[in-house]
Amino acid sequence: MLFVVVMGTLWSVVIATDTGVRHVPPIYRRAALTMGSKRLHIWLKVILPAALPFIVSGMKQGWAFAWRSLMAAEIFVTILTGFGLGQLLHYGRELSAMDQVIGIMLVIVVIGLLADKILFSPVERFLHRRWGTNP
Amino acid sequence: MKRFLLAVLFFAVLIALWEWAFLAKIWSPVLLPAPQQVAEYLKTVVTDGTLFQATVITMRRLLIGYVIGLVGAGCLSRFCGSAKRRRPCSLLW
Repeated sequence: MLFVVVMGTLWSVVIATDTGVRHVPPIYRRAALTMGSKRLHIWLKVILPAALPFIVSGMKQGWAFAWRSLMAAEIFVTILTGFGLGQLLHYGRELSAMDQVIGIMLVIVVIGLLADKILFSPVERFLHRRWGTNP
Repeated sequence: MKRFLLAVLFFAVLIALWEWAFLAKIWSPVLLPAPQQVAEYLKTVVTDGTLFQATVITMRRLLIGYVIGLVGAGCLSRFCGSAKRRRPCSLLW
């Protein structure tokens, strides 16, 4: 379970962060160096904020991957640590209780929407304000 | 506000279509239950706490994995950035 979620998250965040860091205009780094900024300081105060939109979108994508693959994993594997949503879905299917399956599907949709609204919406709003890309 | 109303409208249309498909008996009721049945199921599951427990377990798995993934990605992308940057003009490294 954990493996699937970690793998879902890891690569998309890595790729997004890498792209974000690469796409920071070199002039920022040079300007910071000219103004006497050191390595760690540049990383934290220049590169990280400049790459943040990419990183956040990577995190969002990673969240979506993790959520989907966790559902799939829970359908396939029942493990001892507990009975999750995927297992409810699976047993609904086994018992041909379609009301259960559709109900859990709706719950999954609602959780996805809520996670987006609660976790990512405020961060994205902050980023839009910060970068002046407010719609 | 307008967006919210549009979303509500969309879901209302979706549920109406679902109801219609159920009433028209395109699929057997075993395969496509009515919205009311699903609502009833959800109500029982919410009241007896099964849903809540399952959600907590799933979310715990998800959050633990996600945090591990984020931390790992932070470390890994640090290597990505430095390993591939071979340009001589790199002032950082």
